[in-house]
Amino acid sequence: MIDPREVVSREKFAAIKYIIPVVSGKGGVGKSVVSTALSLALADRCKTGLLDLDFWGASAHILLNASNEFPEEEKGILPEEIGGVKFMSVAYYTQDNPLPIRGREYSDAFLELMAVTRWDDTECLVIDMPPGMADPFLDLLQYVKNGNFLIITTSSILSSNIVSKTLKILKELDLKIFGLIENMCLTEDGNSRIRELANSFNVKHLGNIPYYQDLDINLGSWQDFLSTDFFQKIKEISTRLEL
Amino acid sequence: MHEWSLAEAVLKSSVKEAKKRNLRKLLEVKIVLGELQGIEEEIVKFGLDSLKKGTIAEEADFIFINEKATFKCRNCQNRWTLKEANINEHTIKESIHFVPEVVHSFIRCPRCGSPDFEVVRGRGIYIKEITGEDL
Repeated sequence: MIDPREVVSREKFAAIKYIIPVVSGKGGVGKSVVSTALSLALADRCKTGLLDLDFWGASAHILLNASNEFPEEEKGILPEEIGGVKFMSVAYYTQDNPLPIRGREYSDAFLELMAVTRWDDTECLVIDMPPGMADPFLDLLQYVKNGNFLIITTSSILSSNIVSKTLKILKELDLKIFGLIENMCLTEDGNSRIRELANSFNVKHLGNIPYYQDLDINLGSWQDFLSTDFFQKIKEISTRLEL
Repeated sequence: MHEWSLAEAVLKSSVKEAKKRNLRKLLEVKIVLGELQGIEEEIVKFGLDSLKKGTIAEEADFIFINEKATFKCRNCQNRWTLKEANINEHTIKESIHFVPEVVHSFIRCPRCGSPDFEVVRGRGIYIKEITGEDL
């Protein structure tokens, strides 16, 4: 048996100049909000896409206020364009129902979406990854050979401990890492432990993002999201990415 | 249509496999179409016939085999068919057509109600066999 989706999925990833998987290992550190903000910020610089690979906890579609309709079909599936970003998520097809699938089914859905989605002239693809090192992370490592990883952590020791394991794997495989962002900081300078973590893996500490208590009220509309201090902070950090 | 991209995937994969096996040209490609994904055979065939021109698959016959979908519950081992799952709503069929795994968002084991089931066969499209002429 030959799976026809494998060859084209690899080709589609390889054709995109910059792929930025936003990873952590830890859940709840803000990967989806950072991924969405980053894609909107980068859209001013290059043709940008956002792929939500967190099938169990898809949420980028809420941040972008994506349509409830299926994306258009034209010799494949054309991602919906929102705020200058080409967006694809499994949420278009689950109709906001839970998706209780195991890893094997995750891998099938991942390949299916990649095989049929037309990223066309997209130059930069931000990927919102689920937490953990199970099938989604391993599928990504298998199919994406040209990634520039962006690591998200909070100041918490619980987060930094797990992030250190993610960094260990990425370094072991000699994969490119754009840097690390310290999110939800309670102090202006962040936590020295996170800087030390970045230094110990020879990874750039790209910046601290404060904990914005009022951020939640501006989520659900990408236009309102652009006016937040959080977005401005991500935009500033995005200028430090070597694209 | 989204079938076009699947046709493109079948052609590229068949040609790549043929080259790996040192085949000079492809003569036949057997393609399985799983019932769950509800792929339109005619559109895939049209796509393949258009895309194969100028490739080593130009003279190949594409043979389609339809495979019925069956499910097996991982909780109670019950087995059932797509027909028994009784999916009638058009938008649900369309969702499954694009990403078959979302079937888990819409159906449960008819015996125990578990969402933890596998698609034993008839999920989607795959290449069963290729034949061709050696170099």
